[in-house]
Amino acid sequence: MAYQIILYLHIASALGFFLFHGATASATFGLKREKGQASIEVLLRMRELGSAGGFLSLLIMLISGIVLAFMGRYWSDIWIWASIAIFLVIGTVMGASGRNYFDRVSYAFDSEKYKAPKDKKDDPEPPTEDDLAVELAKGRPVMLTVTGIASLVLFLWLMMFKPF
Amino acid sequence: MYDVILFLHVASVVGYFLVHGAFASVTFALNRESQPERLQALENILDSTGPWSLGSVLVTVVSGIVLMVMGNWWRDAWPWLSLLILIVIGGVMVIFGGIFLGLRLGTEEMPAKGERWYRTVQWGLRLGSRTPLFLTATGLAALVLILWLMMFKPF
Repeated sequence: MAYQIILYLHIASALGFFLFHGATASATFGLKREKGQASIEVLLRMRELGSAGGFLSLLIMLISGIVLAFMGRYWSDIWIWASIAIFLVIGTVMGASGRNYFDRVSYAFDSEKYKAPKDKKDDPEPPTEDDLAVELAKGRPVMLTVTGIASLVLFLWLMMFKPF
Repeated sequence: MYDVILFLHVASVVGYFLVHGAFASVTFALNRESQPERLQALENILDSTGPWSLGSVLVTVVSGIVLMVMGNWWRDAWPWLSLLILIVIGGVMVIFGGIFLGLRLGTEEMPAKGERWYRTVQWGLRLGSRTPLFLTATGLAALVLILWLMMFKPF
């Protein structure tokens, strides 16, 4: 019964994560479309809300997943290590492309409110509108979505069928 | 075959939550915004995610009904109860969410007294800026119940 309760928590937190992640994903697509200052600000705010909630639900999902692996004695199975590997790879890809993109756009949008990315820390001049346009153009929402969906399909398959 | 449809069912639920996240965040954002350009940006998000939301919920319902038949679950009460909860929560979301979005975005006009929907819109207006919170609470309650019914199949 305890296993079922933790599994319930694991699935509920996963759904919560997707709900919050949807806000971040739609903000990424929105930034590709919108050019006005006010629109960009509203989308950056949406992304902030999505990130905070997404992080919390991701943490619950991870902890409950590790607890389930111990309770179900799955550590000797390959599927659980494969899902951990996919999680690390997708986390790195999303971090490098997605989070980095938002950090750079946020800084170019409002350099007083947002922290400077590493390579911009020593820049004496604040970012201009041209810099913002350059950063906005670097967004790859379709690539991120395709990568995310591919890993999601793999994850689901591993979790549901535990094939090896 | 059952497993393949089950996979499709779960994947469409996940897809629905991803798309619905955009809807939910827009609803909360509308409480803060009044400037036309910002409202337009939020409306654009709704327009671009709407078809995906409808598509994924359709796949979820159809695959769920197919699973019900394949697994002989239709004799049990839990799938019918979850379908009922889904219909009720869908109604609540469409009516109260629709009123809130329509009036905030200015895409809907207030019905006159005595007109169809007048009373419902009045109920929606009473919720006012608490609408996003109300929708989140009812949505979460429905999720907790449906997930419990799906996982534990209690009756």
